[in-house]
Amino acid sequence: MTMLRFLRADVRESARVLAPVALIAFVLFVGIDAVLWLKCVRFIQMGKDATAPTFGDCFAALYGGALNSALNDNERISLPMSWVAVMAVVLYAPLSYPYSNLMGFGKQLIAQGNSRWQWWVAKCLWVALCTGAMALIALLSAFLVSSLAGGELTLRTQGNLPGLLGLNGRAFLEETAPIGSFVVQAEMCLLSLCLAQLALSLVLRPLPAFVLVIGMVSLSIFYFGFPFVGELCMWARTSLAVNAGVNPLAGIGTSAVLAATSVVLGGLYFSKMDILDKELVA
Amino acid sequence: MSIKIESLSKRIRGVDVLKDISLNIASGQVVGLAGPNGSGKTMLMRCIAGLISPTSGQIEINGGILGRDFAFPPSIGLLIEGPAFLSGRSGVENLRLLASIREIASEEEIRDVIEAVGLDPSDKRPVRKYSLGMKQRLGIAAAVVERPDIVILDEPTNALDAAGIKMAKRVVAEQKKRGAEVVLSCHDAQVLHEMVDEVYYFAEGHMDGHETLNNVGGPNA
Repeated sequence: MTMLRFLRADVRESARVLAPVALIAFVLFVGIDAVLWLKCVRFIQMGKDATAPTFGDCFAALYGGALNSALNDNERISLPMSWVAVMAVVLYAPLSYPYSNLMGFGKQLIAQGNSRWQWWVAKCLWVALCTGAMALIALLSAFLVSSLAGGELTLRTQGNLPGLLGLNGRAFLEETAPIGSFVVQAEMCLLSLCLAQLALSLVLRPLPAFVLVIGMVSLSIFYFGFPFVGELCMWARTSLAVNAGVNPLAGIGTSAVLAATSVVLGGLYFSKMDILDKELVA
Repeated sequence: MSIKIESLSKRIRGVDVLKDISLNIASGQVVGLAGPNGSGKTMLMRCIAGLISPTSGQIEINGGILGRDFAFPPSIGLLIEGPAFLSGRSGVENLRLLASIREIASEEEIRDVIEAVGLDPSDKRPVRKYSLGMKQRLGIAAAVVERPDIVILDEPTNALDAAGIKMAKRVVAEQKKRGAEVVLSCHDAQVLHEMVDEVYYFAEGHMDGHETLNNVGGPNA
């Protein structure tokens, strides 16, 4: 019950903090999807194989990522800047509120609630809500742009999507599969990364935790496997789109394990942590 | 309710911030902590509040060990490290949010306590527009709004004018009268002596003597 009261207080208070980030995310997501739309129009004008972007295309454009190109390959790797920007904004959204709450008013709330674990679990749930809100914004942006473009509202992606996203490689399947399970995988991965960031923010403070997590996520462009789990948020690395890609079920499972580990380890750390003021933490 | 602190020590990053502190606080007693900056007063308050755990020693509250039997004292009000509030909300909204965790204080009690510290409960201004003194008054109100058994007041008279200091003395006297244990620190020795039953002197993390007074609830309050 106390945990739900903590969560209620968090939701009420964080709305003001999150509103500007949500707006930035919406503009960014719509912008990325609008660029895809323009590319589709250009491809159609050039007589290339393309249709108006589907809902699936628009979502995949947000989480396109990069091909599985190892650094020692001779292939030229282009940095997926839009993907990094999407990752950064989603990770940034839940970054500072929990820690600033702990260093300020939250200290009194924890003492009133008389439980560190309940405060911690409430913050994890708040991060889940926050990540869920960002997922909704991504889905809404994809829906909006595909609707405006006259594309099909389907989870299927068009055959030339890799080309439209600048992902030219031989690895893509002849016919890519609907992205339903990838949506779950990507959002689960983002949730697990946000929870890991939350736990790290207690140890390192928020900004270093953000830099560390976004750094690891960005390195996923070049390196594969644990701990470079950023590839679980890349459509270009999923088995739905490429040969020998990440199976969505495995991706969801890996994300769930990382999320659970972050919650448990973060909670154990927080249950023993000295809650000092900012000066002493520094 | 009683607090028994036994051989409490705290080491942070290689520095002994508290060294072998022992003291007892009985129900209805007001204890003052005096000493220069960095002498360990606030650190001891943080320990009593359950915000930090001791490196050695223990704090016993009503027979239970803090950190083992409960994470925080079962009933505590805090003003520590300066008042911290949600700056975009009014004073009443802040206290309402605080009171929503345990749902002990009623809306009427919230408004009463705000009035008691000299603020206007109908003031809709966000706390960021409050002066330092007003924030301090709200901090005192937040510490006592739920009538806790233990009240921790770290420098409650900071930024207060003469009327504010008088109010702080009155609030402390009221807490004593209803049987709460109050632990407070104050840099103004005279003001501290007027508020407390007992003063513990701190220097470089250790206790450097203590003095028994007994004047709270009297004419000075």
